[in-house]
Amino acid sequence: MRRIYFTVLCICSLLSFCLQPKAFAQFGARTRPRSLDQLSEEAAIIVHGRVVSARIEPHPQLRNLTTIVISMAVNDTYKGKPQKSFSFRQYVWDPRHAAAEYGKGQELVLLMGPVSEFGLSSPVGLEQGRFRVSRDKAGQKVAVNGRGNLGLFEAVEQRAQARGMKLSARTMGIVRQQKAGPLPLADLENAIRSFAGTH
Amino acid sequence: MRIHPKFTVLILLFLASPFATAGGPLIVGGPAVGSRPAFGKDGEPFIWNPAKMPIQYRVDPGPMVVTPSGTTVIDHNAGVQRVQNMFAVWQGVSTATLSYSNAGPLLPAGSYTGGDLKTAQQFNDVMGSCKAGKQNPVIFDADGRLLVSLGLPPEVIGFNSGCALDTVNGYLLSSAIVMNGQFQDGINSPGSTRINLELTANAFDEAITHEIGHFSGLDHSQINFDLLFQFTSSCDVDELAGLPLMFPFALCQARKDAGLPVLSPDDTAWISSLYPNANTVNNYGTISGRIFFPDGVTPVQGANVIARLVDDSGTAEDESRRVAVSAVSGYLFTGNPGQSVTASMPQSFENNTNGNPDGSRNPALIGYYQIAVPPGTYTVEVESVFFEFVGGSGVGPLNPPIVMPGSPEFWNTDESAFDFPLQRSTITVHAGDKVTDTDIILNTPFQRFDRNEDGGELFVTPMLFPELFVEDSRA
Repeated sequence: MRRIYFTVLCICSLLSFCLQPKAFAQFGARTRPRSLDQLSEEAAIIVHGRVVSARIEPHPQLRNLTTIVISMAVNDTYKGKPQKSFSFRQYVWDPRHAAAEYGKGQELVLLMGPVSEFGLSSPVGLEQGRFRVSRDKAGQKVAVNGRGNLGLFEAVEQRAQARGMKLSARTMGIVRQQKAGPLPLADLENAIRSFAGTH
Repeated sequence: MRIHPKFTVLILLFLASPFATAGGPLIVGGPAVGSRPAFGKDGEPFIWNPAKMPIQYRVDPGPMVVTPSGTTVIDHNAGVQRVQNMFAVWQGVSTATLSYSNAGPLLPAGSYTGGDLKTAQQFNDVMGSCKAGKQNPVIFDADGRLLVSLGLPPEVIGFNSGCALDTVNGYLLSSAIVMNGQFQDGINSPGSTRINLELTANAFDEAITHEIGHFSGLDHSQINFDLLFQFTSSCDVDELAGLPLMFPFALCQARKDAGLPVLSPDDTAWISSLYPNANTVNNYGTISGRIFFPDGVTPVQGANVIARLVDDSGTAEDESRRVAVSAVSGYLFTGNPGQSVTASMPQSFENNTNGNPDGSRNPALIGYYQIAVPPGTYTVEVESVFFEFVGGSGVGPLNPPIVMPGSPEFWNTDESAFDFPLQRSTITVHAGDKVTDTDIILNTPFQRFDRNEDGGELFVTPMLFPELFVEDSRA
């Protein structure tokens, strides 16, 4: 039984990899790091979901600009109007690194910035506002952003105090740990909701 | 510059194809595969044509920085000088033949008829001319509004966009750089409704100089990446000295602010390797070898190899952190050779039968690395590429990177799968030396990357268990 399960898993994994569209990554961008409270505040909408489709195409009006159109099935909305699906179009300037950032089937938490007059939007802080969700050895869901969660909680406590924001004991615990690397998804959600004021 | 019609298809191919990069060169040529023509020169980096130096860039005629209310902070002439100084950083490498020149203002294209480039439509049209190989634009987004109209967040300092390649001869043809002037307008309001972030002039210039590194054909490099975990913006100067400007993330204080040259030894070594001149051989030797699984035969691609100068105990500085040059094993080999079993799909964008066009298919290059180093005595070590150097932050040919099997280790003269990882031998390199066969055999029970050979191994992937890598790398 275990063998059959494993075989199916292998085939599904291979198919999933092979079916990933040749999406392009934002190679060659330099960004200024920001903390989770700032990113949460900056985001217009924050969703947790799974990539259903990702396709590369020219912008419908700005034909020389390459874009990636992402559709997601939404599990949860941490900020913004709750919705079951979410789509956005992102400008990508360097057509390489297929599917590394928006693989079909990839579970993500996305902190998205506002939509421009040309219908374009991106995660806030680019790689910083895109968290990949996976499971750790214990089977717990964990999330890590495109900077490995480095500096995600830098000076967060001081800013919260300055603004009179009361963080839950759980959120404060994470903030004080200042740990890089994957974060339990539940803790990330809790922290984002605290910072976005959507508890 | 006029593009030969036969290149058009190839340029389109470039624009529509995913590429793996390689620690060192940004794009590596690959052979003809199936009906697909060769992509540049097999196993050779794409570079600007040395016979056509200087590389001519064109600058946005508008100011470099204006405030949200329209007050000019850095005018056009001062901006052009800043840009020239940034290009001069790379041009100043005495062991490289690279040079650049300002060819004047942006060429008109479509709706862009000259003057300050401000709108997304104008940007689109100028990028069209860049993709046609007509110009290498340097664009001042003086108040950050262009980036906003492109849906980009205010954290973006700048970016480089490769526009066109000569895929017959293996040359870079055109490329663009965009600079977000908002970081230099003197206004720092990180919490306002219209976020406006600030950087020191040196930090800003170094960010754009990093982009010029990509413009010139360089990939990211990973050295002293323990700095990622120091949680301080003021880094140890020895560590910072060795941290490549081409490191994937902006870290630490500006190099210049710490009294360091803008380029690290890794940056100068790689730009010299891509564009060697008569001085190069008098100032560098090379260390090369392969990384192997424990059988000593199966090569490992995607491991980060670093040559470090041995510390001189007679100085206050730690030369082993300051002088280091890296390469990713298999950097000349493709990161995606393709396969015909499950990847033969009807849709071209889904069909991975032939894999990526870039990178060699010569198996001898799978675990191969070559590092150019200044004369001196070195140790050589191998480590994983950091698990989150994915997509736009990629280092090396595998994207996402794969956790290196086994712990980091040094090379020693008695290499085996059972040696002590900290046991190290030294290599003395003179100018012009070519030290070969510096092979490292990893200490690991894994025999190869083919994890489908063992059900349990399938679950140990960097995507699922990135923390494994972090533990390894700290060991």
